[in-house]
Amino acid sequence: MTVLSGLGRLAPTLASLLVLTVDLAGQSVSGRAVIAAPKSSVRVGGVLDRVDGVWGGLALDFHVGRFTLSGGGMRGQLTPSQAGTAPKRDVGELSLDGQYEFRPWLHFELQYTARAFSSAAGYQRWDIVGVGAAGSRDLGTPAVRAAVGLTWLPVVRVSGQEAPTFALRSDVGLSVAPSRFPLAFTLRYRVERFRFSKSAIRSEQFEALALSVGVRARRVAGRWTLGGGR
Amino acid sequence: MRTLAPLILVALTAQPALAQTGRRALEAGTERYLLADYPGAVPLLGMGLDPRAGSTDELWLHGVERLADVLLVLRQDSLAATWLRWATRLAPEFAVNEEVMPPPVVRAARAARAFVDSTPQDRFVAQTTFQWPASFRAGAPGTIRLASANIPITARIGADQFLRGGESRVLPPGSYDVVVSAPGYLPTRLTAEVLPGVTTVVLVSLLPETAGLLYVAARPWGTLFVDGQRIGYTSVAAHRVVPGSHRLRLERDGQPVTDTTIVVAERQPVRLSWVTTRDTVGEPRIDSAFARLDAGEIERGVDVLRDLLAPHQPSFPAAVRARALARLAEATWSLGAKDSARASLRELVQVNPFYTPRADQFNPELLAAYTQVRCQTPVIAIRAPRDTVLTPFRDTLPVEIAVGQPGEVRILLRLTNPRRRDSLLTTLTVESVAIASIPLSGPDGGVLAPGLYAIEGEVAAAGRGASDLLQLTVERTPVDTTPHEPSIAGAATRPETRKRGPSLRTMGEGIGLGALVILVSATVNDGDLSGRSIPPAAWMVGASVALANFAFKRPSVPIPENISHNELLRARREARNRITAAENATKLRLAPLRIRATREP
Repeated sequence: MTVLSGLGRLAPTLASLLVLTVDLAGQSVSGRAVIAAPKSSVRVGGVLDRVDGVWGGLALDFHVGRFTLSGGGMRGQLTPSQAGTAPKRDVGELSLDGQYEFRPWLHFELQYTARAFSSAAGYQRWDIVGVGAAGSRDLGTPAVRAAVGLTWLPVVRVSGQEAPTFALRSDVGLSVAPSRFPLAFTLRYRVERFRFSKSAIRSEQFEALALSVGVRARRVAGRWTLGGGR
Repeated sequence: MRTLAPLILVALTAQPALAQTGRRALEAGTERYLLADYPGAVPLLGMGLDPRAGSTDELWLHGVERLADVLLVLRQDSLAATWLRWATRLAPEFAVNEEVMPPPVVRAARAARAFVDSTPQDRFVAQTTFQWPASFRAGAPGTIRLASANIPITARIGADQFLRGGESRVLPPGSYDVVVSAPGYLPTRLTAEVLPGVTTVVLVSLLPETAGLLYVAARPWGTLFVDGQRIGYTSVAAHRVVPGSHRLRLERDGQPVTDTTIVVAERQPVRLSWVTTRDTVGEPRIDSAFARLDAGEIERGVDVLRDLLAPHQPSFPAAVRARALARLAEATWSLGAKDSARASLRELVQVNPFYTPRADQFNPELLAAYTQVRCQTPVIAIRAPRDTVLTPFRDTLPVEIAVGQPGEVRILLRLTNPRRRDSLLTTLTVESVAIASIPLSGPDGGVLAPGLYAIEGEVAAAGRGASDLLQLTVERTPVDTTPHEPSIAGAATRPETRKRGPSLRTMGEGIGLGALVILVSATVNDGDLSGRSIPPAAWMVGASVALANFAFKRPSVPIPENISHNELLRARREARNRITAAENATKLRLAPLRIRATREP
């Protein structure tokens, strides 16, 4: 387990080195700073518990040809919307996302997300695997692009409680990446909905509105150049 | 008597050649030679070379080289060598015409010169004269005679022949080493040539053992007389004089005669110096050797210079080395080591073909030797101004050429780009020194581009040729070119299009996309959990998408008057830039070139 965890930590570094050192067609790397407003809603029995807050983190995207590998980490704090209903909790999330561009406007993706909540009441970890598709379209100029995606989450493991029977994630957004400017801006909103068995008398939803600012470098004729365009 | 007349006529015509003497024989021998009657030419030429029949003029000099040629053709190489040595010793200025005579004669003459130079004799102590026979036979032996003196002298000839004064000995033709001695006197050594049928008379006037030595250094050079007898050109080294008082006179061109009296003690070396200006090269060790030579310490100065110029010593700059070699040649020449002096002169020509001896430095004998050595040394050197600025089309690059052996010189420009090749710049015949003017532009109007070039000079002299390389760095001097006008500033141009309001289709698309975004989010959203059937964030993103679509998908409408205005601005700018580019190209083409010349390592 320790070895696997060590390998897991090393994996992004090794992948970065591989992508940066191997000269492949259509290579690019982008790094993003993300700030988001997450909101988690849980209904157990008849009691609704809502927490929200702010979290921030970093993400890296490696793009080679039609494949994109993204990884990122977020960390923040969630506080109850109504005072006294639930304790404050720390939340962290690690995600790994592989995408294949089937068409310029359509790509399929396979995602893994590990999310953990920690509070005075205890520790809970969510391991989520999803398969989905996303479509995108430019809005009059290639620099501005809208995206809509749906992901089925067939594998969801939750520590200390029953796993949901059905889970779905929606992801919509708008990105602006001027070709002569090294920065790119993205506004995303995602909603994850988890349905549990009737016996559990439980339903949950996790949503996050995120704004990210990223810089992208692409390899042209063997040399890395900065550019915000796609 | 009338009946005898035809017989007398027949008798006279039967011996046409041998009856002739002196110049007539030489002329007749030349005719036979030109008719390729070699056996008939030998006795006539041999007879005609009698030095008492006339001066050693051009006819005599040609006679020697023709006789040598004939003897070499007749496979009598040893005899040819003896004649050439005799002529070289008799007339130091003798040299075969290398352009005309066949190579074997040239080689034999050079060998004879080397032999004579290596076997000098003191002409004030020993002299040789020659008595020609009445009739000449090519195969006859010669005779050597030691003239009698007022003291009992003895001569050793070769290894085993001895003669007393007044005695003669018949010997085969050749060169013989003769040592003449007498009790109480300094022996003298000389080399004498024995010619077929000719009597070689050796006259000696031995000096007593107590004789002193006279050294005279002078610059400018002059002619030295001792007691009225012409000794020769300065420098004079190790000239023996009997003890006692002597009157010395030094005559120099354009200068008053210098007279002085010296008293020489027994075995005393006397050194006199008439050097007006000190000779220095800025190299202390060489300057010290020069000072010794100027002080009359000839042998010591020569030893020091030889040591300094030896191959194992650190090398001096070419100019310094050349001057040191010139002084060494001058000093060794005065010591009578003419072969050694010629070797120094040869090295001098090789080190610096541009070397020109000063008028006050080389006396006429040495200058003649230098000229001769130079003409026999296949070497070439080229040089150009070390750092100069020249204007193409107006100026040319002067390349100085110096050759040893005269010949046709080809100046080549070595190009490496785009491919390695040589371009012939000029061809000229150079006798000694010449200047080639190299144009900086080609016939097509192109100017020598900046870069690194090599110029090679090749001399195609008789025998093996020689070449020399010069490296040129060509740079264009800075030129004030006019900068091109930058692109037209945005403020100067007018917008060429304007955006129209969004069309219905655009609006429909925007609303549709925004609605899709909201719909997808709303589909997944659980209104009971989030508290809203459509989350506000979904509204925000959907509205953003719709607005972005409205903003960026508005159609553009061209503004014709603004487009033509901008095109006019651009056309004017391009026209001005074209004129600027043409002016700049002309300025660059005529820009002076800085050319630096360095020797290739």
